[in-house]
Amino acid sequence: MGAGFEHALRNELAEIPRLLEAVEDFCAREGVPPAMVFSVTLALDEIVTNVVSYGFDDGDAHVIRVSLSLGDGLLTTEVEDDGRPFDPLQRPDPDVSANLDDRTVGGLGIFLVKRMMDDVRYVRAEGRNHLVMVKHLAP
Amino acid sequence: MEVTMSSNGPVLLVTIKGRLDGNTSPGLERDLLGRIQAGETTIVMDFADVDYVSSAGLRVMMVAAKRVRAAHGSVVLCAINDNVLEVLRLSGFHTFFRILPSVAEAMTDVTGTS
Repeated sequence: MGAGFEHALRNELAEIPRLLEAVEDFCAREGVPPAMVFSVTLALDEIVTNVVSYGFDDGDAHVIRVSLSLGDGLLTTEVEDDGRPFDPLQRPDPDVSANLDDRTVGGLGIFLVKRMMDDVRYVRAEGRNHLVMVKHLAP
Repeated sequence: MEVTMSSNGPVLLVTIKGRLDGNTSPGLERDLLGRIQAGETTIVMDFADVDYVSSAGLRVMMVAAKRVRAAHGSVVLCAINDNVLEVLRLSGFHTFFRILPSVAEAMTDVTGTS
C-alpha cells in the first residue's frame, strides 16, 4: 500500500509556491528524506514553470494537475496539462562543460530534471501532456 | 525572497534570503544587472539563507557572470548549502564561479587581500 497526493493549480507562476509547499508537507508526513524532497520539488518546479510559461497559446485559464504516489520504494510524480504538445525530453542537453563565454543562457531546467530523477517519461494522450517522473527511495 | 545589496568599498555584497525561483528571480536579475550596468562589477553573492535555487535563479547568475566578465570584474559565491551546491555542480557552474565557504573568505578573495 502507498500514499498519494493530488493538487490542481491554474497556469500562473504565482500558484507554484503553494504547490511546492503542499508537496513538501506530503513528503514530510510520509517521511521522505529531505535531499529527495529537494530533488522532487525542484523537478516539479521546473516542469510546471515550463508548462505555465510556454504551454499555452490562448491566454486563457487552464488547470494543471499534479499527483504524487509513494509505494514499492518509488516516489512517482505526474504532471498533466492540456497545453500544446510538448515533450521536454526531446530538448537537447546544454553543454555543461563549456566555458562561460560559450555557455548559452537557458535549457538548464529540463536538464536538471533528467539528472535529478531516476526515470522520466512523456506521453501525449487524448489531447493532454503527461510527464511522469520517478525517484527511487533507496540509494 | 529578500535581497540586500550593499557596497563595501569596491565590492558589491548581495545577500539573498529565501528561494531563488521563477517568481523571485526576475526581480533579482533586474536589480543586479542595474548595479553591474552602473559599474559595480566586483560582486560577492551570499547564499547562507538560500535553501532553494531553480533554473530561473541559475539564469540570473549566468547572465550576471557574463556581464561582469565582459567588464573584467568577478562574481564569487559563498555559504552555499549542499542541495544548492549540487544544483550548481550538475549545471557546471563550479567551473566558472569561485565558490567559498563564508562571506569573509569571499570578501578577502575578491579584493585580493589577505
